[in-house]
Amino acid sequence: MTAFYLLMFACMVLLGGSAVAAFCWAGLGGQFAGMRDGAASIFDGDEPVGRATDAFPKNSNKESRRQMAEVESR
Amino acid sequence: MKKTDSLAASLNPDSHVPSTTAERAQIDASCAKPVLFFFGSAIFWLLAGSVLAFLASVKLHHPNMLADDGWLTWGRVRPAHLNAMIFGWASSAAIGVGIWLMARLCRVELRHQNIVLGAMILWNIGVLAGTVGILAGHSTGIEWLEFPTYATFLLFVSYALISVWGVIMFRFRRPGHVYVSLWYILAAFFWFPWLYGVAQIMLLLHPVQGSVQAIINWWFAHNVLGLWFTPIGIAAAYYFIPKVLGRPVHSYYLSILGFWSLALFYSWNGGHHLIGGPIPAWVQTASIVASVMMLIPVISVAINHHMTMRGNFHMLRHSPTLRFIVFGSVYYTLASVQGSLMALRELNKATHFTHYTIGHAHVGMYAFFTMVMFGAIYYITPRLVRWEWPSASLIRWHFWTTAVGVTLMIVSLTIGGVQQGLALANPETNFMKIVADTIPYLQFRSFSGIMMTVGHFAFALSFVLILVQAGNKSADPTLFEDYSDDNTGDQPR
Repeated sequence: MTAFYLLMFACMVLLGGSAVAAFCWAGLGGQFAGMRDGAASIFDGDEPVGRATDAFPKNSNKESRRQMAEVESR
Repeated sequence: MKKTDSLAASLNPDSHVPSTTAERAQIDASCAKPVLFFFGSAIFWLLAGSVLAFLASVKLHHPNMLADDGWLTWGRVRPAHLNAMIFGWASSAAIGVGIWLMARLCRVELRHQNIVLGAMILWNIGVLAGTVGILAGHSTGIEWLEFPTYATFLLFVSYALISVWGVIMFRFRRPGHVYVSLWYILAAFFWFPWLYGVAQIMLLLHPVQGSVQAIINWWFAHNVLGLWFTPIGIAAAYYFIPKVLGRPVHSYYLSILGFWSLALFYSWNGGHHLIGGPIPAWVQTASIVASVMMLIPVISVAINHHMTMRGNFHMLRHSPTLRFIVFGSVYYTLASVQGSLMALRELNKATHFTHYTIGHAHVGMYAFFTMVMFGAIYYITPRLVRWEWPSASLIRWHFWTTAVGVTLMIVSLTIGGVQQGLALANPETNFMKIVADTIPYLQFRSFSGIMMTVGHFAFALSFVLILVQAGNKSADPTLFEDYSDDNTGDQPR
């Protein structure tokens, strides 16, 4: 029983310790520096800041019919 | 692109790594198979869970329905619904979204696909065995851990594989900044097996004695929400809201503060489920304090999402992803503030042991988490299948039925729950009268649940249609559509 509680206690310390270790790693590794670049890190040349990347699909049948009508009227 | 491999770039965390559409497409293609399998099985469990939910809900106002069959009694259908939704739908969707975000944010192709596919198969066998096991009467009787041990073992192994895979992906990421979403996902992948393992050992394999069981039970059950679903939901919101808008997150500093304060406070919250219970008062008080401290991460996330959206709310009309995710984010704030308040002793007296709590659970797990997952799946799937969603109407149906449905459900359970709680606190009131008074609210809940289920079927139909690539091949699918070409009027800033 004592061994069981020791194991659980060790687990607790390890879990908390892992969070502290991750925090220190992030701080020392410069993850907390350059916040502006961090926020922009999900954008790039092809999907730059300022361009939306999602929209409702166009109603393809209606759309293609409209385009065909346009072609015919020319 | 070659430049990123230079020594200077690899040493400088701020170095910006330009990637191209082709590279992104490669990364997406590398995770297509496992992610689509996870999404597919998630949607299957969503439908199965909805049917179980319907049975559990109707039985509360029509108790004689299907009451003669042991497999379909309320005591089995209700936990089967909860576990099928939590482990079948929500966790599968979360793992799928997590894998895709992980690959994108690490900027590397998916490594070791077989680990993930193996985990997917084990996970589904586990959920199937567990759900059937509960219906067969093998439930452990511990809330949120009802799956019998033969199923939990499979789930644990499966999840451990995902965690190991996550660590490998992180280890091999491209150098550069670790985006806030990646922090959340990595933490969630790390925390969940830990929680699950400890809860299984301390409650089932080597049970602790007495009321400590209840503390462990709620430590686990609340942390599943706080340290597994919440981080994945917030990670998705922090990626998709800026990405869809084409606008960096308002305050990156707040997003980092939110992550670390969540890590610090959330794991203490479980004890607030036991307020007034036979556990040490300091455990309850510590948990109440931590619950109120959760306002820090919650408000920082709320400010950030609102300020990123500000001036862009018209985009909700054009982007299905944004519509679902912003709806979910708003409800995240509501769910969390409501949760903090419910932890206060005075309010808890009225709401504990009533339908109010069930309403709160659906604010968190459905209106927040599930809606965010819907939005993420709408963004990710076309990029994996390389095909447009076949029908905008189906997406609109899905959104409006689920958004209105869950809101009605929350309203009816909240009003019904408060009435029930106040009546229960009054010893003069006849107990059977209190039960009978809740019936109209429960009927309304069943109705709203049916609405949401209609939405789930529309979603499932959409998903099957996109998988079989139904509809005309569109020259410029949603995913690569240049928004400025769209003649809908508003322009993004």
